[in-house]
Amino acid sequence: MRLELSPREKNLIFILALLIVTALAYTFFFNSALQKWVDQRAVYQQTQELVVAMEQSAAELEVRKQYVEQLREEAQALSEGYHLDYTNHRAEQKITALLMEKGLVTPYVDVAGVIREPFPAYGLSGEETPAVQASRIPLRFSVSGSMNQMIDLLDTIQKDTGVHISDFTMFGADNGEVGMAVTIELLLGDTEGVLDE
Amino acid sequence: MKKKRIDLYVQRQKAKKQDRAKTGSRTKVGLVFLLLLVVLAAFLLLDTNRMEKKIEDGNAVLNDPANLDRFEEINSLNQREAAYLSVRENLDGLDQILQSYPEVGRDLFSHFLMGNAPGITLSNISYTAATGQFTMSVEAASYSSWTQYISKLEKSPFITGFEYRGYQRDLGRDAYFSSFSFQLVDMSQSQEMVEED
Repeated sequence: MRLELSPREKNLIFILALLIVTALAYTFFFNSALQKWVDQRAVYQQTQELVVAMEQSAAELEVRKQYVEQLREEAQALSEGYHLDYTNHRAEQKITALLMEKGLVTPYVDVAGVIREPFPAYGLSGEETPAVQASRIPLRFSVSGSMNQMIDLLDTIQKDTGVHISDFTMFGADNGEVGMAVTIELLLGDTEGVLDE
Repeated sequence: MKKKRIDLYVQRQKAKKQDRAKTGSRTKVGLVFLLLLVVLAAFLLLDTNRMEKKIEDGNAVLNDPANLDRFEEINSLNQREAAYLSVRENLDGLDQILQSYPEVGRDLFSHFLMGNAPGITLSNISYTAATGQFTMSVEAASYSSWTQYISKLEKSPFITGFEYRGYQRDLGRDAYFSSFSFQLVDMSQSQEMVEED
């Protein structure tokens, strides 16, 4: 007995056959092959990016070295004038030497320990001012002499980049002997040891 | 009757022909479909293989000792760059903040002490940087000198917040005196304002 199929049935069987072939191909080949291709593509792109970055960096190495050296020099230049690595003793020595140089005698020099606090910009009362973290050694001392000597001392301290005058009080009149108590801060110029490298 | 049979035979022959034509087109579609699957499979296999080779080449470049050394050097440069930039930013900020404070040096004292009318004496001068507060006691040997000095303070570009509240008079010596408190102006800012105007 011969099976007679209508054209519609033949078409349906054909479509079914295609679906079966597709499903088998996907299950036994395309599923794993496609997954492998996607994975390899991700690794490939990553590797290529790294290679390009490395080649680019290698090409720019000398320029980059010069740039970093320039940065180091700039940071070094900015740090000059500050009192990096100063201890309390060294801070006191600096002030005593300055007073001796000016021919002034002080009955005391008080040195407080290093403080690291925000150092605010100058602002008239009520203004909000920016600030940076700055390590500093506060010192307090008093001197006596003529008004001119006091002004000369303050002027010298003022011109020292790494010293900040916190306050001063002068006792006596400008036409006679003047006593002055001064509080200053020696700024260490924080570099976190970076410039030592 | 015979003619009818012949017609049926012709019709059957026609149907067979049509069926063969349809079978032929299905075969073509099936072959094209299979070809597509084969092409896709070939692409996946070949491209995966190509990428594997490229990854191997890339890894060879990345794992080359010379390149690894260079990579380490680049990393070190990056770290140093970040550190120097941080130091530069911090010191730059500190420098700007220090410059924002009024200069309590020779120029300021010359302004208060020099070129005054005769008989002006300043005493008990004090200054606090945190608030910018400057105080001083003024004594004048005559009313004329007193008035001139007060006018000078009123017009002074170095100070702000000056408020005149009169004087005390020593009738025995005919001396005029009072204490004043005001704030010093950040001259760098006031100069910028003048330049902008």
